[in-house]
Amino acid sequence: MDFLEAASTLPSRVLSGIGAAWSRSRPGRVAHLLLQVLASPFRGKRVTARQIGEIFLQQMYFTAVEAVPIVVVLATLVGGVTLIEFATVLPRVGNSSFLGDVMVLVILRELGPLFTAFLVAGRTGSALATFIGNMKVHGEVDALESMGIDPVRFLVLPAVLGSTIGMICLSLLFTASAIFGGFMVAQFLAWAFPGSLGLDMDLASFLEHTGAAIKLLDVVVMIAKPFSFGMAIALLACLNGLALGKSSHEVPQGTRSAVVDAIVVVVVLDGIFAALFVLPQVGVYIP
Amino acid sequence: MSEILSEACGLRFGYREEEALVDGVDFQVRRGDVRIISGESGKGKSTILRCLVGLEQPMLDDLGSAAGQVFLFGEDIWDIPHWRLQELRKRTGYVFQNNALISNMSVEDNIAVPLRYHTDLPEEEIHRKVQKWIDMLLLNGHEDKRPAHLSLGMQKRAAVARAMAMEPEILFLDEPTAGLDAKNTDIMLSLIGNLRALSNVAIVMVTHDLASAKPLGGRIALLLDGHLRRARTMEELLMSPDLYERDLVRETDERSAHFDHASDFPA
Repeated sequence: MDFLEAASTLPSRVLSGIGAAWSRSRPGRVAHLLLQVLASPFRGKRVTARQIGEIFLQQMYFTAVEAVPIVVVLATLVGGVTLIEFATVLPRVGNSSFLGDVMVLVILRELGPLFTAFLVAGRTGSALATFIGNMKVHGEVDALESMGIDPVRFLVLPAVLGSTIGMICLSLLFTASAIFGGFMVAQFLAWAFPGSLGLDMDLASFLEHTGAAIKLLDVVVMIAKPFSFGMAIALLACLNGLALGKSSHEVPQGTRSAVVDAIVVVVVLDGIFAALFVLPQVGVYIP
Repeated sequence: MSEILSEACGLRFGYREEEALVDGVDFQVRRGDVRIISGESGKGKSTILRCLVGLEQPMLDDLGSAAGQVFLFGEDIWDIPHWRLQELRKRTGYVFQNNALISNMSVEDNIAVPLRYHTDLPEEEIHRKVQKWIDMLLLNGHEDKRPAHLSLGMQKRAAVARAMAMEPEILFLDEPTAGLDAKNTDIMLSLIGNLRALSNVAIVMVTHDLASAKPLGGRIALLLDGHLRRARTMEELLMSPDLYERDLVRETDERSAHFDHASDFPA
């Protein structure tokens, strides 16, 4: 009888064990926080701009506006270097007229979102984890709780929104700057080595060439990637900040985890995007 | 008999699974009450306070249910959804031992946080209400300062102002005079007394120093070996058959002579 009773409760115990292990695991905690963020606007009173506006604007300003100079410089250099590499390689394989397509493919789909995500993980991810971690360590998160203020709605929701929108803006800026930077380098090479690399084109034809290479799928990827990267970076930063205890020495550990986790997750998400969007285009079937 | 605002029944709690820091705690606060929880440092006074507002998760008994019950405004806080607990907390104020003011906000913004979050009041009305608490807690001229630029006494007063912003029915004070000099302790106790006189807010104060609790009056519950004893007045404790309690109050009486003028502080 005992055996039968134990056997009958086994599936539910196994399921609850799996559930407990999942909720303790890092992916489980991220998923839980994501659900909390998505649910927070619908709990209690409706969200007002006054509740989340200040932190949202601070986050947008820090993530997007303050990072503009570094993104423009970095993107121009990356665009220039990428163009030089391909401008020297493509003639060797027979046709340099694919330069526009290659630039779009590499910058718009891959390097733009990835470089921006690494930059945002380093800047925003670390700052956000430190900010929330310090609040946690100094009892400020408990103070919010004691006032009946939901820390997820008050801190995490605006931070995630601000970081995600900021990340999309930055990624678009990076892409535009990199393509423009590529053009500048093309101009310079055409001036320095006339006719040698087939790069002597004016701005109008360069933009036409590049614009013609952009497909609808590229536009989807250009938005979807930074959206998911930005959300992942902000969620991981908030999770690592909120997971801290009461000791100041945990703050740098939380910050480090936030940045490292974000970089790993961004690369994994990039792989998933490649599998979803790019591989089917070249005939690879993913079941 | 007035309404019970906060209650713990058979509360058992510890930070480690096997070891309970406090056990079998029964505690009640009614509207307008003053309750002091006192005892030695590190024995769980603040933990009881945190449990009373649900800042700690319940310790589970052998059957997996919460060990004891905690009620806030008649609702079992370990048995209601988190959003409901947040609703109940709007009717309470809590002053942390380390003040826990939000460090990147000014004093004025700190006090305005709950008003901006919970109410639809226009900014002018919020400013007016905040200014009232700033005046009452003697923080004039420091509204725009960040907490780090305030003295400890001012930080504590700002924390009290923030806790009072929503005009709570019950105010939890965790060591509100810890670390203050005699003058600032006097000021703080007088201000708390004034708040109580003006708003009839119930007060639960945790302190390791009974001398600082004396001016507030009210009943004192002593925490000893993880057990909270029945709340009694200072006079009742003085008549207690328990030598420890009598000695504690006598010692307090000797040390509290300088607090006697606290009530003379201007309102």
